[in-house]
Amino acid sequence: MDLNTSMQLAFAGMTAQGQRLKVIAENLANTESTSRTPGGEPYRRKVISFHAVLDKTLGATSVAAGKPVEVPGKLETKWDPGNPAADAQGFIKVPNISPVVELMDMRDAQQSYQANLNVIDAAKSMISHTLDLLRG
Amino acid sequence: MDLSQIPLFKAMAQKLAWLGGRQTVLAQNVANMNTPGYHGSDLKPIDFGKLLSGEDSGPLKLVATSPGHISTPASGDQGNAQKVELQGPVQVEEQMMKVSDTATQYAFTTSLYQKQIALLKAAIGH
Repeated sequence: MDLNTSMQLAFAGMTAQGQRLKVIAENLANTESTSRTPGGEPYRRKVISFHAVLDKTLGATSVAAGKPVEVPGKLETKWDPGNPAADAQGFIKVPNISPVVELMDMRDAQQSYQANLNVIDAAKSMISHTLDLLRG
Repeated sequence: MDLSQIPLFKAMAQKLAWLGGRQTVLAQNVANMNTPGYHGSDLKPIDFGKLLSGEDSGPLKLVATSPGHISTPASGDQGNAQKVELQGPVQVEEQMMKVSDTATQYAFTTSLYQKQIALLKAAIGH
């Protein structure tokens, strides 16, 4: 049935947004995570990307989240000679995470999740209206 | 009595099926809101008046938008014939508006259906 398909698609969207939120939480939790070894690599920001997939059982285009990938790029350094991760000159590499960017991303994920919930609400009301036809 | 033989009931059933199908298309758009390179789509609007008069009840045909177009017989791929691709990324506000519009129209059509049933019942004295 069409309306159940709509709900399934919205669920797929919510799952994907949930995975995105998980990665954002990972990034926010690791804003200060440096390396354990001197001069080593710290935590790198991860991002997730979505792609449209054809769901053959539903006969519709669903969405799936890809694997989280690390964001490449130059890392900033900070002078902190007391840190166990500091190299010979006393510098440590810090993660390439900006909390503001992560918060913006989080809001976006939240908004998308809400939009999918609205679709479920609408489909639910349509189904209940169909069932109301039985009451005459 | 076969209700689907009555033009109004037939038209309402088609309208409900169309609204259900449209909801699926909108759900696809919303689910893929953050998918890079995804273009949203929508169903071609149906004309309830034409459905009622029985003009639009046959198999789906390509719309001739220019006098130069040659009318074609309905193709086998009817599900996609109605779909129109939208340009640019999915706009969440626009989609939400369409979703609630579809739900409202569905509620309207189902209550119209109920009223018609009540009318028929009154006619046969129930």
